[in-house]
Amino acid sequence: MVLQYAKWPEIQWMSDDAGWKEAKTITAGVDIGTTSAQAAVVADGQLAAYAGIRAGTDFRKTADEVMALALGASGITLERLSAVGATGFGKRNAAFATESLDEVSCHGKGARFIYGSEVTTVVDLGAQTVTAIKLYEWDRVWDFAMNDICATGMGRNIEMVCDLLHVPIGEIGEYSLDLGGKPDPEPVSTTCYNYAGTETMGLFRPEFRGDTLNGNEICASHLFAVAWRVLGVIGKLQSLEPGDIKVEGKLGFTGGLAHNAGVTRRIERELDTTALTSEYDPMLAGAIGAALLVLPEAAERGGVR
Amino acid sequence: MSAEATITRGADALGAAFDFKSLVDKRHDYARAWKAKTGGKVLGWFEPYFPEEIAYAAGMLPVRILARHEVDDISDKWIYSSCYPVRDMVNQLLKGRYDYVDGLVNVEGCQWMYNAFEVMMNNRESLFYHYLFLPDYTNAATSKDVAKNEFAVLADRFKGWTGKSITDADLDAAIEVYNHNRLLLRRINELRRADRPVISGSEMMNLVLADQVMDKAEMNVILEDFIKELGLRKPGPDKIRLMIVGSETWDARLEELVEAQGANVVADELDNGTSYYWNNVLPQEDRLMALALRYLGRPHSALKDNNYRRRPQHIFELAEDFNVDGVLLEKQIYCHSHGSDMYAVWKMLRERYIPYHYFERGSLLPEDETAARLEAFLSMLKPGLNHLAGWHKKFGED
Amino acid sequence: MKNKQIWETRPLEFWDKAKELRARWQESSSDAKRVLGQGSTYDIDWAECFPAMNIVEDNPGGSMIQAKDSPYARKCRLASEIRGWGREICGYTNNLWGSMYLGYEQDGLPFPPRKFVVFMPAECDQHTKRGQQCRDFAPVPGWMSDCTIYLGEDDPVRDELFREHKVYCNFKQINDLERIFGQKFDDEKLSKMMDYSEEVIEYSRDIIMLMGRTIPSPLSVKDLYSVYTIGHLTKVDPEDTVNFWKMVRDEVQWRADNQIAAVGNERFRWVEAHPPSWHFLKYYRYMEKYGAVCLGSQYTAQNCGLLEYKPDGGIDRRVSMKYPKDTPIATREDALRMMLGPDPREPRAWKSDEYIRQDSIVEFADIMRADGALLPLWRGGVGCTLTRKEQAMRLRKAGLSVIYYEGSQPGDRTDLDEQRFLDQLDTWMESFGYEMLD
Repeated sequence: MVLQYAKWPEIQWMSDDAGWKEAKTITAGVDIGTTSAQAAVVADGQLAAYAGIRAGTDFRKTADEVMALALGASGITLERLSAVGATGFGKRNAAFATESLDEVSCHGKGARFIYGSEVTTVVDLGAQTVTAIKLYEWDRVWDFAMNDICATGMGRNIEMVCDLLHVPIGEIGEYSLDLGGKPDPEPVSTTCYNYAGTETMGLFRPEFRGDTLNGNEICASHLFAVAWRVLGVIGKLQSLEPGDIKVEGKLGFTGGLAHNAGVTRRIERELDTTALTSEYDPMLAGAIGAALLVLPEAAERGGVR
Repeated sequence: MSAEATITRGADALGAAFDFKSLVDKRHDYARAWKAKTGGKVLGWFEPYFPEEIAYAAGMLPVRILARHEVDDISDKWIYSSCYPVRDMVNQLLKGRYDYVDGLVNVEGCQWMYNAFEVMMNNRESLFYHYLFLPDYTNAATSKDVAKNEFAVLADRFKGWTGKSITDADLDAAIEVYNHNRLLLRRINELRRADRPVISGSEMMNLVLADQVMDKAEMNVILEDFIKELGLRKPGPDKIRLMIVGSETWDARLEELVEAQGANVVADELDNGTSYYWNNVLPQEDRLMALALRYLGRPHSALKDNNYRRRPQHIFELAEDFNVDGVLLEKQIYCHSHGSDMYAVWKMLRERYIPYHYFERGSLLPEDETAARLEAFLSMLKPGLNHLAGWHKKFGED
Repeated sequence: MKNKQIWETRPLEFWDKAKELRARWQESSSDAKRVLGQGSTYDIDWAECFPAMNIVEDNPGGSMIQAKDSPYARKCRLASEIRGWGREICGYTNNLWGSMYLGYEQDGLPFPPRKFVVFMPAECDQHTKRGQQCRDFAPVPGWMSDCTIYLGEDDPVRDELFREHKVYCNFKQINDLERIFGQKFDDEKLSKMMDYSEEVIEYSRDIIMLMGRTIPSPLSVKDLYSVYTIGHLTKVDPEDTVNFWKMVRDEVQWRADNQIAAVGNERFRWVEAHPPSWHFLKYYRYMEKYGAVCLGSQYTAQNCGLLEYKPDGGIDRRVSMKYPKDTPIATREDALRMMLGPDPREPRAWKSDEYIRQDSIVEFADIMRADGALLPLWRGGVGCTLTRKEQAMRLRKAGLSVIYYEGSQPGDRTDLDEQRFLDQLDTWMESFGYEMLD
């Protein structure tokens, strides 16, 4: 079997405290993205279980699978859930969902759960989209910006490079930061994943340039380009007054690329800030947010579906 | 519907539905039928500052070359343009979709458009071509004289081509038809100011697009009937009110996506929208000067909004007058003219606390992605919008 | 087919003078005592006649930022991107005004705010908007003019109206500047400036002729670009400018007479269109290893007003229509009329060619004895890319080998895959059976 470097580990967790199953209102959220899907179960506002898997081409099957994985052996059935919120690119395929929610609200809400009330700027780093969200103190979305066309330069690009360089996706970020004290090389000219291969091969070419890059520098070159595109999205939320790019308040990353220090540290460096950290997996933000957003109404109904 | 039927006057041709989208879709059949019936010439035009009245006075049917996406396997050989709509135009023109067009006119404006025009000059030599210079500096004391003379040159070239002189009476008649047309469009547009408009954003956009490819006299009859029908319509539901600002759009897909999310587009500042019909020709003895002043004085497109800016204030006034809850700022990918203006527009909107969402698009909208943006934008706007809580009822409008 | 040195090469002697003039320009550009304004050359050749004013261009500033300091250029572009400008905006604009948005320059010093702006009239849409950036940013007075153009035969009525429109615009600019800033305009210097610029044009004509007509070419465009802007975009004392260009012309003439080559193994000559990627001029040297020399483009030849075949078969520069030398100049308007010339379509002839003389690129390639053409396709530079595909077709029809490369814009390194670009050049040269010099 060919080793697929771009594969990241799938996750499943359930609270040890089985008491959650007795909660009055149990809601769930699913976030069906283009390359990953997450589900979270919330019992009376507490996180009770979650799962995260790689998304297949069949979104419906993926949605069913991730939800089933999150509920695991708890014995809780879909019917027992007071409400299920669905978000993400493939949300319409979650046939079991009771509500469809926009991604921005879900990631904002989920980020507040994950990072606490301190977080004011949330950056969702997805496989094919980047969204920067500015939140009011009361969880409402103040403003948001999404990446331009074409979006295939984000997580998907990095997967491509990992496979090409035979670097596990969980390690590419660290490699890219280990440059022996040298500054970042120039970023690759494009973050289009269709061209990632061509350009990467070119960076290995020894002739003429005298500045051939080593493996780590090539990783750095790619992740730098991705980080820079993300900065272009984040900055759209700031004031138009003169000055460097910055974020107001605390920054929190969500989405798969939040795991990639090669991207996040470069963003932090440019913004002159340190992002918040959490015990929770930032990939779960959308799903947790969806579960929390459907909670108030479900609770008002007394937990009845 | 046969081509013949599409040119039947008035509402009968359309049925009660007033299907303007279908008129846009069948514009080629319409123009061919017009030609067969009248024996006149059809003139294609590219840029929003083209003085259609002069062509109309010369007995022609001026039709706007609209970007329409279809598989483009031909334009790349001729043009390197990062503007999709322009490539769409070249693709359509080279493939003969506009084979009924006898001539093409380009007005000083976007260079990609010019490039498309030039490709056609080099490919269909038998057509009539004219490039009209309209000053980019619209407000200099001498600009109007330049524009007036350019219009005179155009009229003269038409004469050389058709053999027919354009008389003052011809110009007066054309100006009257066009002024009336713009007045009717403004009347319909005013209805969008209602709390619960009787016309949707997509219907309005299709209507204005249809207006740009049809004989205005004929369109005026349809519009008169349409206004009557609008008077009978019941107000629609109270919805979030959006405005579209940015690069020219060539169909109503964005408005439709907004409507699919339960909101409505009630205003726009688009060259294919309100800017097309906003101001009228104020008649004066010197007809060409009257026309020059109209075109130099219209709400500026991004490329002509130079030196002391007018666009931001105009956008603000529209937003305020049409009571919009938020603005969609759409820009065709690589649209340099609107790209240049974004800073000024953002600045104004932020200073005046008008929420907006900015995004790039191609000539085709990436539908799922756009829907995701719209959904998020609308849910950002929705809380706290008091008109949605039935504000209008306080005034007994229901 | 391996390649060996055939002709002698020598370093150029005008370098030191060029460096000195450049440094002087740099110094005068940052002279805080003069009123700093934003403006562009061509129609505002009169800028020199306001001694207490310092009218600077957004280029070469924009391209220098990219060429000198890529990380800073990237910061500038990010600063403009997050304020509404995307990749469609020309790199020069993005870099310079991004610097304004950052609030500081490359060296960390505060960005000097412009006190006024004179827009650049140009065919290029991005140039048309040049200057608006600082007006959108802060309310400073601004003036415009137009780049008047039409297709077809000369039309005296249109010419006159266009010309008078431009005279009016320039006149208003100067009068208003005097009124607002209380600075005196030196009317007498204006006619002198016209003479100087005529002299520079003559020397430039000689240089381009020598490059194009001599084998081996005594000067490559790579070398020319190092001094190209002196006296134009980088303005120094007019007399020094004239002397400098005479010096360059004399040296190039001497090299041509003595078969001193720009590229010692010259065997392939190519032309381009529009500016190259300023941060990646390495490709010229890369091509030299194949014995290929670049002779520039209509853009580089613009300083001399372009070369053309004359009816008698000779070659000379295309002469802009001028009023007779002895035309009386009684007023400022008269002087401006003289400056603008009788043909309102002429000033930027090389750009107008894309509209009204589309075959001229073929004529240029032929005059330069080119074997091939390397044409850039700039995604974010509409004015830099207009009609490029058609130009390629015309060149191919004339027997030249043509290839393209793609990037953002000459002042923006994003989107230019340098390695791939060089690979393309390898393939191009290999298609002629050429190998690199040992």
